[in-house]
Amino acid sequence: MTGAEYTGLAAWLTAGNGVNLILALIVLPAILAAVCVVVPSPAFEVRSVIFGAALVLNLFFSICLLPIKNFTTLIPWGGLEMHFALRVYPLATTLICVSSLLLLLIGLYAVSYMQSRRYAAGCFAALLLSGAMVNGALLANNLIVLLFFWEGMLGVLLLGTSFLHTEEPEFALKAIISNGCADLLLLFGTVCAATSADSLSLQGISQIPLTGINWLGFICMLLGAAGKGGIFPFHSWVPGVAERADLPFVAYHVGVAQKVLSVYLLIRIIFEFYAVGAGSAASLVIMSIAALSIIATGLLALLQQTLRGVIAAVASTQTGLMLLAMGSGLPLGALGAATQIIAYAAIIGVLFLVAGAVERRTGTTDLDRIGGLGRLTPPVTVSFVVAAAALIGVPPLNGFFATELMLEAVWATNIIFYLFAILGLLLTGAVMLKVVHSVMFGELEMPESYTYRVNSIPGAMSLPLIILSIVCAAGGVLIHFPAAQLQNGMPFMGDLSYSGMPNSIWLVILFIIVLLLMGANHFYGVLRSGHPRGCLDHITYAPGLRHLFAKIEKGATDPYNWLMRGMNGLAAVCVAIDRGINYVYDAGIPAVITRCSAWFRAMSNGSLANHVAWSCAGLLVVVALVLLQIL
Amino acid sequence: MTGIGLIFGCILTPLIGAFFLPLLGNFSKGLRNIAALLMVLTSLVCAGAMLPAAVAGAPYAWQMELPLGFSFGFLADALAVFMAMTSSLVASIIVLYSYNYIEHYDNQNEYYLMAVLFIGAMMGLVLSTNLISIYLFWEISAICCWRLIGFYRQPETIRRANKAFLITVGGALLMLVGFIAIYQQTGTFNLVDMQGVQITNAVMALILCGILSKSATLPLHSWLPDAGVAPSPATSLLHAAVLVKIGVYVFARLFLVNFTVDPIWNTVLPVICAVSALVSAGAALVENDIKRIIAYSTISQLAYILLGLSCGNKIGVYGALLYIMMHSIAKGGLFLCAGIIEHSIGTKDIRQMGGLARRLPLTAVAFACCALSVMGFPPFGGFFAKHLVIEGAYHTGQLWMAPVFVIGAVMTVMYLMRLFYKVFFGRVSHPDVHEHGWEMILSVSLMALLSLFSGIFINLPSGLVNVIIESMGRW
Repeated sequence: MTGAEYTGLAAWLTAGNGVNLILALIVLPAILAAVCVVVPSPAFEVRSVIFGAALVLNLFFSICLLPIKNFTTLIPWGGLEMHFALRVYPLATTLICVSSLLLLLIGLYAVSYMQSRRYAAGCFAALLLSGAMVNGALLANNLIVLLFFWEGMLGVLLLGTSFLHTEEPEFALKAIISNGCADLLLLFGTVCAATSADSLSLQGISQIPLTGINWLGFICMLLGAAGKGGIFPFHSWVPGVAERADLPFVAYHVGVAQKVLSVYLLIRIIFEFYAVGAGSAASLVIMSIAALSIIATGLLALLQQTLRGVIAAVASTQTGLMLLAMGSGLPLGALGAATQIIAYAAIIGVLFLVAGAVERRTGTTDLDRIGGLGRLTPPVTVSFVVAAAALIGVPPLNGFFATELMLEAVWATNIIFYLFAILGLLLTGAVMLKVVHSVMFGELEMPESYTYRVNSIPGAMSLPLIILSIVCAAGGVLIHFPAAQLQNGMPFMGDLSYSGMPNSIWLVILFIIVLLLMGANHFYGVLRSGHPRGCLDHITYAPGLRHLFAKIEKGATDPYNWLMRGMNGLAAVCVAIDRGINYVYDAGIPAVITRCSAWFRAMSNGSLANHVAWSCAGLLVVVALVLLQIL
Repeated sequence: MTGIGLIFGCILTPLIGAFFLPLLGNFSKGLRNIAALLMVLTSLVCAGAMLPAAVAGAPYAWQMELPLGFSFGFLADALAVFMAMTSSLVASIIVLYSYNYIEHYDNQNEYYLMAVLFIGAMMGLVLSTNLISIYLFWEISAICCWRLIGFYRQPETIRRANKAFLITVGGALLMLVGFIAIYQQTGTFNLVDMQGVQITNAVMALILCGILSKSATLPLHSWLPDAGVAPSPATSLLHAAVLVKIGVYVFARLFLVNFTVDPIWNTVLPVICAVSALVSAGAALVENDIKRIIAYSTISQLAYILLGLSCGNKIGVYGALLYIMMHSIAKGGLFLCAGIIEHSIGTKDIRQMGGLARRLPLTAVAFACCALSVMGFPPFGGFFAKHLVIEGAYHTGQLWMAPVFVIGAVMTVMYLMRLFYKVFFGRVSHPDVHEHGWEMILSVSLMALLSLFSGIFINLPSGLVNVIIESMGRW
């Protein structure tokens, strides 16, 4: 469809081969990010206004995309079919709108949160750059363009985790290496996919058969895409970054942007690029990775000592659940995952912002040092409870409907994986109940120096929380609106119709039983330990599990550590080869030359007999050469 | 200015002008420094001025016939102009950087003489159409390299300079034997007259000895990490902009433009490249000397360039040519940043560094940009180059190749990030350090910006690369 078929701002955006689209949604946020950095530090208000304007414009232009049903543009760029090709269609525009809304709300929160902190400019710039990269990646219609924006997120992660936090490099190094490895896997996967499809255009890659080398490409692409979502084996960096980086950056970049991109690309890989049928071997592989991820991140969540770490870990568990649903190979699973990512974005947004509010009020999110904060910050408490309930899937909140869709898809494919999904939900529920109970209820506990701080959560921080909590609460009722929009963007849905309500009453009942089990487990744990903080001790110190958790805590099950150990082994071999070659040059060749020199000196000792012998030998060689030439 | 004037301006300005620099230096250091920069900039401007004709397919050329069938000539085709522009651009920035860096040392006249002569030799080499003149310029560059590595004149630096000289000259002599063998086969040293000539495997092996020694590819690489004892701008010149690129340029000129070789080399060379890429990356992972780490990185990345050139397909060659440019810029930037660090804190041992991002923020940002480009991440230029080389490797049909180089890329991420974090983050090791010398800061900033803009505006370099590929007429 051409731009001429639209009116108003949609027409403006699509005019001129889509140049305005690029300018408005990619270039503008990036330039304003640079402006935020350039504005001098004392002019915080000026910087905040520019930042705010950038966020509002970003959301405004994103909303303007909604009427565009299908628009493609192609601008020659890098040669060899590496065109700057973009496509506006419902799946992309819906996710862009979600991302932009979250960016606006988190950005508004950030203005207040960063006011008294160092590197506010860097944080603002990182947020805007993340937004630009997300827009670019979601609109990309060429694999190179997709990779350009996708892998560009690594630079933003570097900015957000390293330059803004120079004292603790280990967590940032882990994040960069993990993401870098995932990105390189994706790069290799795209090379395989592009070669198999003989096209770099995303629309040109369709239903590649999973045979031979295509398997390797598929696995690499899958892991690369999943890596952004904090899915196994690229999950272990997430809590570290969440605990130490600036909260608004964590909330948007790690909590929302990366996860949205991951789910978007996974949907396209599983349902468009490759022929992954329900019950196929590929489906089994995906679901196995997802199940592993759910267990790994769920167990990791149990061990987190901070609110930020817990939220980051359960966020990864959620993406694992989404991958499990997509891995079913059923359109219902794709719809469930796509719907869930919208619900999830709002939920995780609230949770991280709550963590920020708690941190502002108490100076820490260390679970051992805080408790009973509910009476001090009622709006925050309500938001926290609503978001946690939505994350667990309590009806009728937004998380419930999306979770039900996903569970239906998994149930229809494989009951064993359904059990893994339930286990993931149980772990998430157990952890969330623990943190909500211990942080917000019970006896007041907080660091001494913060006890007398009152009214320390300004309106600019509370407002985004309240708006997002309303979205979480009301989103369940209105779920069919985004679901319908998403269905329009996923042609593989066929004639699947979704009314907004779960299809199977039995699965709903089963799920409610699971929710009750969560509650029962929590109260048993509290009664047993005497404190909400210890409500999971009966799990973490259970016979058999204790050693497992000890190993997890030591990092023995961390794939990043495996990678580092493997690379160290490979490096040792490489160094041995390199040193061996060096030895040849530094010691071997000089030794040979010295020996030869000594030998020649010995041969040339002034004796006439020696000289005659050498002359005869030389003559013989010359004669031999002449004879060889003649013959 | 005529085409011939541009060719001679490009070559002779630095080649002859270099010898006047010591004279100028005796009168005024400032004048000498400006003259050195102007000479290199002249090469850049002349190369740029030759670009339109090269792109239009009517390159400037000059040839002089000599007795006994010998000839001497220059040709400014797209490949030559591309190399000349890349090298002179990076070299100009390096010369600017040298103003601050070298001012504290003795023998500055010799430094500028050798650095500018080096650029002249590079210009002469890339524009030559004759195997003997290629060899002559090759050896001039080896002499310059020898003097630059041994600049500090300590016994250890002299030993390492000798090592570099002996390895590269040894390889060059074997290459000369190969050139003579080609002369015996074709009766000419003129490359223009040898289009499509099939050369034997023995000749190929001889020429490769020269190329691999200059491009520091395993097992002829060990001189390169040792050359880190040179002043940082010289190291940057050797490792990034000029010396190591001579080898890959001659490979492209001889084996992609002129000769045809046995297809077995499309397998043998990638194996050599794979071993070189992995071994050097592994060594970089455990090194603690900042310049040695970057030097090993150069060896590893050169393997990617050679891989692309030896893939035998358009995508690989396209990627390799882009790689030459992107790597020159980014690696040049990394060495210059290393120079600032070494200059500021007086050590190259990364175990004694930390938290320098606070003290040297612009250097840290420039280092990060250049490192991301070398790692192959967008929006930097290295992204396109690495992607295309790996895609080219995949297209060869040898399934082991691309995954091995992806592992190499993972190792690149690991050693560069380890270096970056050790140097710039963590506990502040040198609280009194601060950024100084606007020329040095400007130089590294320019390298970082070039890395960034060469990625965002990839259409510009890729347009030229496309012309080169078309002119090769192979695909």
